[in-house]
Amino acid sequence: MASKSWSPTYLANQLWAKQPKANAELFALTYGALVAELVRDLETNDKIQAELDRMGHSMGIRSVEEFLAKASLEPQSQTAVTCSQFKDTSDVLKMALKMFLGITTEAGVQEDSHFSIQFAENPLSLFVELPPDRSDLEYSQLLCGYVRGMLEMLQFDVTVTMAQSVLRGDEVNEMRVDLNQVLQAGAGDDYQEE
Amino acid sequence: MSQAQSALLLVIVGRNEPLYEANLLASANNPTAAQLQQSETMTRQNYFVTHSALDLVEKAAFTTHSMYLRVVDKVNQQQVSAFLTAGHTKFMLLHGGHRHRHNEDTIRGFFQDLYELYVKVPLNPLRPYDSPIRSDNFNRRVRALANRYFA
Repeated sequence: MASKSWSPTYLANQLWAKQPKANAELFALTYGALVAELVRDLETNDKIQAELDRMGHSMGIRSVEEFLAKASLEPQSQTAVTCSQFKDTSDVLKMALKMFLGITTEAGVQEDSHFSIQFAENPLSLFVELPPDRSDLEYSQLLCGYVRGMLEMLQFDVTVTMAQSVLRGDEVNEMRVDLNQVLQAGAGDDYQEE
Repeated sequence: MSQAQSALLLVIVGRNEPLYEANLLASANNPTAAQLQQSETMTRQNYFVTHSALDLVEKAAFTTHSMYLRVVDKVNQQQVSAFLTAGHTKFMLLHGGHRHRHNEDTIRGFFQDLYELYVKVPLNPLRPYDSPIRSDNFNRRVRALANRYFA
């Protein structure tokens, strides 16, 4: 059964090919309208980012299951991926980002408790230029929340930040994922049997 | 000297106000401070000429189906060419007349490429619609474009 092992990149491309596609401009403008609305309603960059993060989080906790179901990564399948350490999660995360956003990512830092992934293109920030009075805004904070939400459903409590961002003048976008703790699986204390 | 005399001034005018202004010659030839000072009165006059041509653009718009309205106004040896976008944004280019003749097709090409650059600007969701363009990126690209066509 497991005679052929597929590379994560190949599998990610397969997943992306099967996904329904949206027009890139419509997608970018829709997200842009959302951010512009938040910029109008909320005053500080912190509040705007917190809101984007919250939205991304609620998207992440919904879509992680779809990803795992479609990618079928369980051990007996052809496409098994084993995550023996936290940093191995980045390989799976790269697949998920390819599947949902179509972006190709590169591995950055790989440490025990944190890793980073880099990507040159960001479909959310097409056409965007930050105005001078918002030059510190992390426009793509939604992605951070998204990743945080996905990993939370897999029992990882993480902090996700954009370490570098093209919009703020960096060469590449870099998302940094820090592991805070691994959550306890199963029911909470209240539900434990005596 | 001839550089100072044949100005090359680009103004993009929105519905209510000018959105972008650039003296395209300044970037192309890096004029000295003395030249700049000398041309200051010229520059003011140039702005005046360009803005006064705006009414003529409205008139010219009804005479053609093309977005490129060609030369809409002539003052002394200077001419103002105009291009009217679908969203009624006006590109105005003040350029030299007979002596430094800028070919009509060159200007048409410049306007077309400028239009392609310009359409990306209103797509930026964080920029209020029809507000002045303060993007460095746009500025750089326009000047590179001008260099390609007029240098």
